[in-house]
Amino acid sequence: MRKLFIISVQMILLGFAATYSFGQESQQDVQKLYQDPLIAKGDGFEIRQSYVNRFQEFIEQGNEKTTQAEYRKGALQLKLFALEAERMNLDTSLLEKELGEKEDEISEDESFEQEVKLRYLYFKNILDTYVLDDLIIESYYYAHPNMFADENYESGYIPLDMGVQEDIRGRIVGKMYRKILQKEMEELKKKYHVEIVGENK
Amino acid sequence: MNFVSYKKTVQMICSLCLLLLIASCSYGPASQATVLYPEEKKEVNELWPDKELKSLFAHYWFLRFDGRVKDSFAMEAPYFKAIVNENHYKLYTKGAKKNELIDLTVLDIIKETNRLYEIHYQIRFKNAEGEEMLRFRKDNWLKMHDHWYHVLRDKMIFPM
Repeated sequence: MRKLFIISVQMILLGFAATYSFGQESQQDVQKLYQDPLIAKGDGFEIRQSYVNRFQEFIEQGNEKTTQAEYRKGALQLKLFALEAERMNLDTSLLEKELGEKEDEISEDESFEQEVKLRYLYFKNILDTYVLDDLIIESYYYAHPNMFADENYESGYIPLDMGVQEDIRGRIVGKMYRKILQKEMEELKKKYHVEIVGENK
Repeated sequence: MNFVSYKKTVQMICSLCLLLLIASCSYGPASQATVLYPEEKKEVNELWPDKELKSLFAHYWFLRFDGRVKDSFAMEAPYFKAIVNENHYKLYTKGAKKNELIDLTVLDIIKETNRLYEIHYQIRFKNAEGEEMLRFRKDNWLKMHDHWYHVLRDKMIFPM
């Protein structure tokens, strides 16, 4: 009988503790929601102000500053590009090798750093694979004859072969990157059903 | 209605249509800038590689001064349209809309390559204050797949 009583008390206490801690968590959640407002959400992710602040910190490390609206846009881009890079299984270890990073140099905020790397890989992948119409490449080649002049060729010009085409493609895509990024963002926003919350709607 | 009166009615309708057509051509909106040649160098007119470019050059500058950005942007080279944002182009060209084009005088037409031509010309216009202004310019035009494209070159604004 005594044993049964002790067990019952323990159960009640455990129950109370559980209720109490649950109540405390809820309160903390509410507080967190209040202090860390939601900025945007989409399929499988949400962006809170703390994430935007982390992004701002990261940008300002490079001695650049911009508006809060731009930081929010940038944070959303970082998240979407990183998600897409993950979905495409882009390998960040190749980038780590390229940058010469060692394991002991991994920063404290590992997941954020990982997202930055994934974003870079995704961006690089977009530019590397962006297809340009032949007419765009041809028009650049024929409008800039001095750029391709070479006396070693009978015609006086380097022919428009695969190498030259790739060189021109790189030049043009490099100048189009803002347009490309904007288009990509619009597509990803639709794909992930992104909803912008708050003042930047 | 007998055959003679029917024939007369048809003749009248046809004449009316013809008159309307002539009227619409005479008083319709112009789409070409006035292109002149220097008195001492009239032969420049013979240097056009084809009639199409001669007409497109006059049409392009008419559009630029008329502020028809979409239409003049469509005439730019494909690589330019790929790189440059249409709104950026609009900002670049909006100065011309404030001016009133008087005429263009073609001074020289130079064949750079089989596809690329450079046109030297002077442009006469009235600015927003009503003053008559004169500018000397060079224009490049590229022919690809039987189609002429304007090549806008401004290294400061559009470094390519």
